[in-house]
Amino acid sequence: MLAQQLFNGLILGGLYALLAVGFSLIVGILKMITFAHGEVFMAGAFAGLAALGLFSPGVALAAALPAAAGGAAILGAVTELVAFRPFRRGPEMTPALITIGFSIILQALALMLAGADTKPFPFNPDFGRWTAGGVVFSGLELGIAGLALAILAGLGLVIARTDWGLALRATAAHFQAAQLMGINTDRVVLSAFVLASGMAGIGGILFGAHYGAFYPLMGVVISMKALAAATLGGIGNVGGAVVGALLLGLIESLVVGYVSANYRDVIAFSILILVILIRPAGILGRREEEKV
Amino acid sequence: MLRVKDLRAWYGNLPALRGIDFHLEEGELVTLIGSNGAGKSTTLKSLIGLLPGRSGEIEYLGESLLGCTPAGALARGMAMVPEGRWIFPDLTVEENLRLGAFGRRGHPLAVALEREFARFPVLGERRRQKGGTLSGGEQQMLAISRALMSNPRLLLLDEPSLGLAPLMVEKVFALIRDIRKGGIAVLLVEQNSAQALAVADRGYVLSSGRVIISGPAADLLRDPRVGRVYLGYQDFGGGI
Ligand SMILES: Nc1ncnc2c1ncn2[C@@H]1O[C@H](COP(=O)(O)OP(=O)(O)OP(=O)(O)O)[C@@H](O)[C@H]1O
Ligand SMILES: [Mg+2]
Repeated sequence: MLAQQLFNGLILGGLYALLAVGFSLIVGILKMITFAHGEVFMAGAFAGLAALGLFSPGVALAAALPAAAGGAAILGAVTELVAFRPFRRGPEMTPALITIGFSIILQALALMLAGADTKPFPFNPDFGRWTAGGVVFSGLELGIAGLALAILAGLGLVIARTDWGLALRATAAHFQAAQLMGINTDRVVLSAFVLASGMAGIGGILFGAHYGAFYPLMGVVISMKALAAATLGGIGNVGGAVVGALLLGLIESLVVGYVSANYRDVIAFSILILVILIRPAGILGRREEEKV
Repeated sequence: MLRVKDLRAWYGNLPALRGIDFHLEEGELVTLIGSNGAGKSTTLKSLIGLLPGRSGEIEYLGESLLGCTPAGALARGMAMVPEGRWIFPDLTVEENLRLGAFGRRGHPLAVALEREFARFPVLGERRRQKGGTLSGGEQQMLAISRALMSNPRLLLLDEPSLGLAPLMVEKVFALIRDIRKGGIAVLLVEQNSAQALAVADRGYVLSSGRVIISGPAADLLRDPRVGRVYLGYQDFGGGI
């Protein structure tokens, strides 16, 4: 029972993390927030769903992932170019408001294009089923958890080891100092949006596959939870976002297993608020001195 | 090498530079001095392209830099050590240095790193340590070393001695002499005008966004009007 809940929590946390790291990347680099991330996730899910319908089940999954990532990445790039780039030096509220508008428009567009009804996964993604130590692992669940963790680990490596990652960390630390190093900060910001959104899109299609459900409002609650998870981990800190997301996923699934499914959000968010009250900068966050 | 004519810059609508003229030749060490708010930092930032609101002429190695970002200036061999150092405290010393070479790809990174570690052994010893763990003087060395990673032909230095202990200040000025001896031209901004003029070939005194006195460093050192600048007169806009 416990092991099963932990495994479920890992899947849930992995899905949250795919969104949460995006929030952390964007906030870390711009100190501004996007409220369209949940709809980027939803759009990625629908792009993946469309690709699923175009191919036979054998190749559909291989086509759905790049479609979801690509569709979401394009939306993310548009978000940066329209809502953020023109307002780099302005108040943080302007991009926030524009992205709220984006999210409402995208929900309405999805409603018009796909309809209000929940779409199922178009075929039965059956990859077998194993039992080990009392835990039932389905191939699909293993695939979802494995892919999510592999993407997160890959992201960590890219940030820590590549030139792009170094440019990203420098830009997040000090915009002008990064420019003084010859870094094209606009390009770094754009690529961060593309990466964050691509991961959200993958999260969307995995979410759709996991729950067998695609609908226009599918990004609303999960993006709020991911933002909460990123804040819990220490907003702006990508590793912290992963920790926060996994923690939130585990707490939720333990509450479902041992208390009641009805209380999962109440208890999970109560714990979250408590942690933030005790550690305002988040679990891995540091209190930052204001940079001029 | 560098010829600046009628350089003007604004912060929003507020003019910070009101028409600056100066020049600097290959291998020369020129200093810009002046009191708080005179426009020294603004001049350097405008030269390298950190401030978008600028006009006038900046001719560097026969080309205009007016449309350039810092990346463009770096690619042409101009690097800057900003006031306040702007090192990346959470990145390692080596990462800080690697970033310094970002603007000049094509130059072998390992060679530049070895050269800088030879110049600053303490940075070599601490290459895996975070920049923020260094002392103030070491951070200044890191900032200078980082700028040198790009193999500049002209180095812009903004108050490199600011906030350092007297012994460290001596080291910084000795380092500036060495850099210049190595064939790199230096544009040095200082409030510490006596020491700046002692190492410089020529100097310009700025006040309220204009050049008010210029000449060979030795002449400026004896000029009583310059003396008043470094005795700490505040710049209230009326000149010194
Ligand atoms: N970011 C900014 N926004 C608005 N005004 C600024 C800004 N930076 C500088 N100024 C103004 O521009 C003028 C020139 O400032 P600058 O920093 O170039 O002076 P400085 O000679 O470098 O002084 P200091 O010796 O204190 O470093 C000053 O009046 C200053 O108040
Ligand atoms: Mg200054």
